[in-house]
Amino acid sequence: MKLEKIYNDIVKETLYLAKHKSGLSVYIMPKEGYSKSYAIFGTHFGSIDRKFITPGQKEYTEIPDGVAHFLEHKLFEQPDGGNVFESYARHGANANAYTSFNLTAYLFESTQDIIENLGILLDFVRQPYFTDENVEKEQGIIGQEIGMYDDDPDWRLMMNFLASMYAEHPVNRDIAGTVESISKITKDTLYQCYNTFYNLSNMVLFVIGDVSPEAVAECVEEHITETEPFTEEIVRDYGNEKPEVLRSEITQKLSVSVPMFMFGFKDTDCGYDGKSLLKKSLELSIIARAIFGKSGELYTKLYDGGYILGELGVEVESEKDYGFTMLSGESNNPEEVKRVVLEYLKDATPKGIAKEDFERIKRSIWGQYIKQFNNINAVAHGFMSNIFNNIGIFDFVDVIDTITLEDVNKRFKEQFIPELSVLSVVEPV
Amino acid sequence: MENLKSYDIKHGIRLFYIPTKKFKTAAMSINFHRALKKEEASFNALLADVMRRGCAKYPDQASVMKLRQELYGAYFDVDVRRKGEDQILSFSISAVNERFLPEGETAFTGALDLLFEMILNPLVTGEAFKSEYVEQEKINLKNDIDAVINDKRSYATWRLIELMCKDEPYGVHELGDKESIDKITAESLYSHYNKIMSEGPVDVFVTGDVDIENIINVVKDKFSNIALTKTELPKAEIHKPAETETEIVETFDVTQAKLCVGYSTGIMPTDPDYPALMVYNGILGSGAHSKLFNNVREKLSLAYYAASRLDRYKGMMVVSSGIEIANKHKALDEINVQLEDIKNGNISDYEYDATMKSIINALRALGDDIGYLEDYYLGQALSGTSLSLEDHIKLIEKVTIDDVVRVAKRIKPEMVYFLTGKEGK
Repeated sequence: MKLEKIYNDIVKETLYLAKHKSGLSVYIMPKEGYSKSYAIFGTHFGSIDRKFITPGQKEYTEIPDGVAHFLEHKLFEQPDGGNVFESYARHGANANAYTSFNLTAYLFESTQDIIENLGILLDFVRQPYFTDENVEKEQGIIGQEIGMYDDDPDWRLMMNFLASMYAEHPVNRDIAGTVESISKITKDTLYQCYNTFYNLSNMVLFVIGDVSPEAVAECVEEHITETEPFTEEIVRDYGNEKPEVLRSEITQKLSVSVPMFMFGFKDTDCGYDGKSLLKKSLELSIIARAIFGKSGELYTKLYDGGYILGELGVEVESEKDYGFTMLSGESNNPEEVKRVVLEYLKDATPKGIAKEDFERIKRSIWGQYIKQFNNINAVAHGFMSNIFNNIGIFDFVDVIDTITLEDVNKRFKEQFIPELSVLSVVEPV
Repeated sequence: MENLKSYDIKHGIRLFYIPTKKFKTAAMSINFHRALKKEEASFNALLADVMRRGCAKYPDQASVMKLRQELYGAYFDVDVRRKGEDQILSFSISAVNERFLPEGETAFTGALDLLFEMILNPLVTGEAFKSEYVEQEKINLKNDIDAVINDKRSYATWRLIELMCKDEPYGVHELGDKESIDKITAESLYSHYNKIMSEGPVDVFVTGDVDIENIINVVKDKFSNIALTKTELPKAEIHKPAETETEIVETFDVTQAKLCVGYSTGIMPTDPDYPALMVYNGILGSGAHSKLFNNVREKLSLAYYAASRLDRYKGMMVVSSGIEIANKHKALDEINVQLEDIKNGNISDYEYDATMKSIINALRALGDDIGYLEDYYLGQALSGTSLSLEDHIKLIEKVTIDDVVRVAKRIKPEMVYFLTGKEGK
């Protein structure tokens, strides 16, 4: 496995990359002076991947909601009855895993025995062991986890928001599924998904910290000997999402002190990846900061006017097939917040963002890009979610200079309209 | 590993510098220590919220944010946090090092100027803060206090501590209380500000690759008109254990319950047994190798989470878990079994080894994060231990299983707090 080296003079970081013969893409970023290493092994299989064609087959497979997350739990079960956490703990590593809408990732962090721990990671993820009994036991455990999310106001707020914004796209369903959907999962479902999405050509390994790239490469060679990469892509079907939103408002009652809200705009300009996706995402970040951020007039109006209680959160989500820009906070009257925002936008969209705001916010985004390299956990997580969208870690440096105020204002005018908005509220019981 | 250098700026003001080249930013915080007490907690919390709004030179959030954006996304915030019985009012900044900026550009110098403007030249009319800001932040702060119940997991742990320490300063929330907030005026808040600026003590932390001599000169110069009276940090008194064990049940509209148990350990950070207490806590409930995780959560599936943590400055420990409402007694029994097991020396080599490695790993990893590093040294100063990360690791390495068993015998259960659904009463 030949390591290629890329040095970026702006952030002064080096990335090593290699393609293993199994199809696995390997990336390594040594960080001088750091005590810790962080390794993350991910597959491009998230909760939205519920209808797909496995390479070599002709028909679509449709699976119950929550399989990616279920599979993540089940991979920790080992054929020899061994406990993965125990193997890690013997080498001083802290291990975890997570499933998002778009991917499943297994990770560890440690200040010692990095190569031994990497071996554990590479081995256990490639040793599925599903039985009728262990699937049934897990249905109980995950059922409890789902119950916990049902009590979590932030989570409910978010899921209601997405379920109202999207009629078809599976981002409208809970990552863990429901008690009912997971009851339909069998060991065969798990094996079929495993054999599709855990093919190494659908996976990425990223290691960052106090590591030697050569030692990581050697460890991969030693642990991964099979070579059956797919020669075709996995075909994924996310439904036929129409531009409009499903419902513009949704409210749920939970045990909270004051109403919480999310108000956001659907991104209807979807379908691309790589640098084009990054460019769009940066344009939206500029809009979000300029229009909804603390430096703008709207924020002052909402905050000083007492429409919101405390800070307003602003978030941009840009995935290949879906995306949105979202405001969140607490308010005694979320409907009023919505009214004020829409009224402001009516005047603001024709005017557009001012040149000086645009330039200043670009500087700010630039600084934040540099700063993120401080935190190796954040770099690892960011790397993983970007790489499945074909966005590389240094692409930012090329893309940021291609962004123009005209493009930003065009996007602002087209996408921030009342018809594309959704208001989700969680009210006190 | 990063080690601390300390400098005396003047009476009541110390500066700590953690030199390191590995970060892309430099960070600085100015921390005003206040003894945690009911009469003052709301003042300090509100002061943070009002001062965050702006200063004479940058009079509102928009102008502060515009400056921060101009300075390549520099960070600035004011907050209050609790460490033991010290309520710390912190003003902090961080900014990208000039090595990563275009030729001739700097961000840290501008952020440093913002930091001192916000602290020393607040937005004041006559002898009062701007009343609109004060009135509005009173509303927001009261809302924040109400919102503490929204996250049931952290609320349950807080509520247990509050109940256990109802007669001690440690039972005072860092956000204060609503009745006290109602009584605060723009004038009384400003006189509180003046009191803080004349008492101290103040600790300044600087982390990163900076010209420290220059920063020391700036700090000396900016604080030249300030005369502080106090030099002693407000240190926590050890928790006085209750005579009897009690149980408190509270109901909310939830489907799952939270079960917490509070203990007194009688061991403060200066106690020679403190490193052994850290290992005890690790074996009991900190991480995937712990007894609570493996038995209460994994083997018996009684809880979605089950963990323990130390209240370092108070000689207390809390076990917390998220469970099905019906499993309360089973979970409580099982938690007790784990504590008894350690007391009886039933600790496997694996549990011991994995805990030792996990604690050492966590201490080493602290050095990779600017915020944690600063927090660690602030904590050391407050507990009067002043241990470097290396020395701390050495103390942990000496702990034996016998030490852990000895410590286990000092731990006394004191209170059970059960947060449950309406049916689970």
